[in-house]
Amino acid sequence: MTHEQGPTIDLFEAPGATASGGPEDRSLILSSNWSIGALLARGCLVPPSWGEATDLDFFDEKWKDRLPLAAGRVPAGWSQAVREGRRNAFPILIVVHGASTSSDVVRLSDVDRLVFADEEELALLLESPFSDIDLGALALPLVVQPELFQGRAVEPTRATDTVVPRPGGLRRADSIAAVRATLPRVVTGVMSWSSYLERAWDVVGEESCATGDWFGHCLRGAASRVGRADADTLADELMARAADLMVAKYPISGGWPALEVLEVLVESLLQDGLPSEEVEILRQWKEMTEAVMRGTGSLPELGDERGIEYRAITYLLMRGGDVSQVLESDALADGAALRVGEEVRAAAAILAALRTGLRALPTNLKFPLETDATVVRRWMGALGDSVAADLGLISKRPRVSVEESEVGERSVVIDGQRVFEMPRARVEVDATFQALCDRFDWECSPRLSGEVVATVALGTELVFVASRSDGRIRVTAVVEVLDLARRTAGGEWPTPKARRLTKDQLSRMLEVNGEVERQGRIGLSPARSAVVYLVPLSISAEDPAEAVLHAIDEVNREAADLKSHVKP
Amino acid sequence: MRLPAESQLTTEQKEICFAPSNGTTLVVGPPGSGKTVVAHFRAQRLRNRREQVRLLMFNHVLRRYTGDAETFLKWIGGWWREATGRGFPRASVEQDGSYRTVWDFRGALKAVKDLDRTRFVEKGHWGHAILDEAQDFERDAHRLLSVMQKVVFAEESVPPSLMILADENQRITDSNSTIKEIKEAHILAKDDCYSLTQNYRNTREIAQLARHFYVGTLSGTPELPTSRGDKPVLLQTDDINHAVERIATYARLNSQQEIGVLVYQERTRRRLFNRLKSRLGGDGVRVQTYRSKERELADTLQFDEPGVTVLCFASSKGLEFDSVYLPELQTLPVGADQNDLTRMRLYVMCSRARSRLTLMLSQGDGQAPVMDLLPIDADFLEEEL
Repeated sequence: MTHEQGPTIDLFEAPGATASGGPEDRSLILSSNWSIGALLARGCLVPPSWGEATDLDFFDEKWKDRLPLAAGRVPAGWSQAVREGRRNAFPILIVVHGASTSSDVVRLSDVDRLVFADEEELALLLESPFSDIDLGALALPLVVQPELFQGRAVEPTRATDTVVPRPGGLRRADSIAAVRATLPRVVTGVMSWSSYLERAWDVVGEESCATGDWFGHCLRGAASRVGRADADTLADELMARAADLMVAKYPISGGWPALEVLEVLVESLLQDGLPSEEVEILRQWKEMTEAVMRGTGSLPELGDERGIEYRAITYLLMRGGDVSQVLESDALADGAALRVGEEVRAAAAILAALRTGLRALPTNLKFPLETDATVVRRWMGALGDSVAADLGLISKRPRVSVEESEVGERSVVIDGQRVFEMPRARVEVDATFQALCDRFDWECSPRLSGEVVATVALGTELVFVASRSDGRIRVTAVVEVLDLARRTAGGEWPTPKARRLTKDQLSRMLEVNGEVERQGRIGLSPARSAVVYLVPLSISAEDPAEAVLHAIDEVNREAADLKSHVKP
Repeated sequence: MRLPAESQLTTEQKEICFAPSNGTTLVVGPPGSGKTVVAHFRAQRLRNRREQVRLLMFNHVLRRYTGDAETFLKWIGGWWREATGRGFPRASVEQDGSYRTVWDFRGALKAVKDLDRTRFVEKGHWGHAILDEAQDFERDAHRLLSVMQKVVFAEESVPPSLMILADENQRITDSNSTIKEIKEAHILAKDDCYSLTQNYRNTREIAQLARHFYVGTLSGTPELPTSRGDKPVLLQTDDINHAVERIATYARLNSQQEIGVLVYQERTRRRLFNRLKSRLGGDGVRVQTYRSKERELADTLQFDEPGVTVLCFASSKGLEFDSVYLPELQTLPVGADQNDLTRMRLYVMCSRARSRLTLMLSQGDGQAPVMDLLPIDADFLEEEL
């Protein structure tokens, strides 16, 4: 049921109300410094019957099923009841745009301004430093208008069209919204950003998940659709069960009994009557994870090579189920650190976000990076709208997608409007490789693709592959042979058709790659929009400078020779 | 210090966070109830208003922990000199047959009536002072601040304000103040006082164990938190090296955690620090320590950063860590006249842990006497062999 376009419910005729449509006719919702947090931290405020206790009798008992809504002014008795409810509690009025409100929900996207009875109370809220609310970043208009708190008291009437709250519905919606908020922040060099972000915003439409699609199974669990019938493998179901547990049984407010979480998760899977080989897999994984948590095991393997679901849950348990800790680096000085794959980290972060929920998610994780207040409000407004839509309180769900520019920058688009640029992928630069680059004064930088690249000269790069314990570094030397995106003589970029290679060029390239004596091969690099020559090299920071530079010169020389092979 | 999340604040914490900033406010609460958090919150809020705020701590480690605080004695010395043009009164007291110089708060109180009031009002306005662990300040220090605020600045339109946070259950010596003495010294009305009763720091399992050691006084038994965690573990270690091995393995696996290693004896602190430093230094895990005789070390401590911090229990007051290890517990004194004090020490040490607590005993062949003070109920403490 929706109230988005419904009529404003006038509970009383406010004294001094002006003609319809004037500012004095605006819809007002009474809130307080005790209850406004949900609006500012989650983007939407719902009545206490959804499970959002305000700790003030006025709301929790008298206005349990809907929000105290008025027009023009609120009765003086309401403000008095708030002040008398708790020490240092004070009323705050939420003024919404015109007739776009309901008594079931108020969304940040509908808020025109917040009104305070005096300057001191405004300052108390504005200057309060909370980790999950940043009123300054939202830049909502905040005004002092004591007269709006002095309306005539009336007996409230009950709304008849209120959506009936579902048990646990708000918690689930809050959890899924936290995933939406966190996704642009979750580091990935390998996974498909666009699809994950768009799927999270359209979670209602998630019907079935492919085998190995950990993200899909995570969303399935978050929506409480667990059961082996929906999963081909044990790993798929493990992810769904873990997500369900994070939402329903282990929210952040309940603490983190890590050993119990592991026990409950394994037990819930064993109840399905698993085949013996799956029971054995679970037993081994549980034993290893338990030892790690007790501080008796060795550093676990947490790379992306296999078992992402198992490894993500182990990592989540190790990091206290805390989304900030999951996202932080694990690099230690000597390279003996825990090495966590980007997908493992992303999966663990999403489980942790489910546990945290949008409301309690720290602002540094839920707000876009380096953006202005308009963007923050737009993003938080959309997140709040998504919660209201999940609860069935509005029908229009925000459409969120990701657009990629020509140069690989990705932007979040809400209802067709570009809102902010996604943070660049965070890639750790290997310390040994960094030392090598420093020695030769090469610029070394992580790329959106997840590669760490040192620029040796114009058109020549070294792409980091791995470092070994003996100090040697495996790199791939990449030299541009043919620029496929060069501007035309007229200054325009070539059309996609113009970038295509001819069959003749392709066959010449393949011939080059067939030469047994050649140390490298020719390839196409979409990221560089070029035909490139790739040569694997093994370099040590201890090698004489002449030897390192000679190896690179050799690659350049071969690349120069090859240019004639592929030129049109 | 971590800022509190609005969504996670308890009702009683919210009442204090939104309390007016004028006059004097007393906040009483047990360990982990969030006294230091509300102190930090209030300081931050006042600074956002560009008001002058002093966050005053008793001990050096806590001062470093909060990041933006100073010790009470250092502040009051400078403040007195600025306001009066003289040094703070000192007195000699006999202790163990020798004399030592101490701050003479009673002398300062007597000196107030002879002060140049105009100069004092002009230069002695401290703005807003927040006193954390205020039970550790002696009662005459409280009386001095109260007299200043209520007599010297009585006619000022905006007299200096005070927020006092205390828990008399954490008093270490007899010269500390009780809550009753603090209330009397500051002439506090009921409306000026707030109580924090809920445990905000520990898990339910850790609080249950800490409660076993609780020696109740006025601030009351803290309510058990609802937040869950793993059960505390009692580990029998072969010797100190075994303890070091276990702590080092855990620290390597949990490189994102703040780990506290709290001990009773100074000698144990030094040995553990040296061995952990040598064991973990090569792994890039930060290991730090502090001892009260080297106060400058407190300035090098880093909190809210991952790593291992080795401290004697007295320096751990007000601090918190993700995981806490209490090795070499057999060194704690046990006996009819010492049991209450030992329980109080165990209470303080256990309640430093946010989510994980491990008690360690190297007791050789016989049973260490301290075992008699530990709970026998397996629901409280899981024994790991």
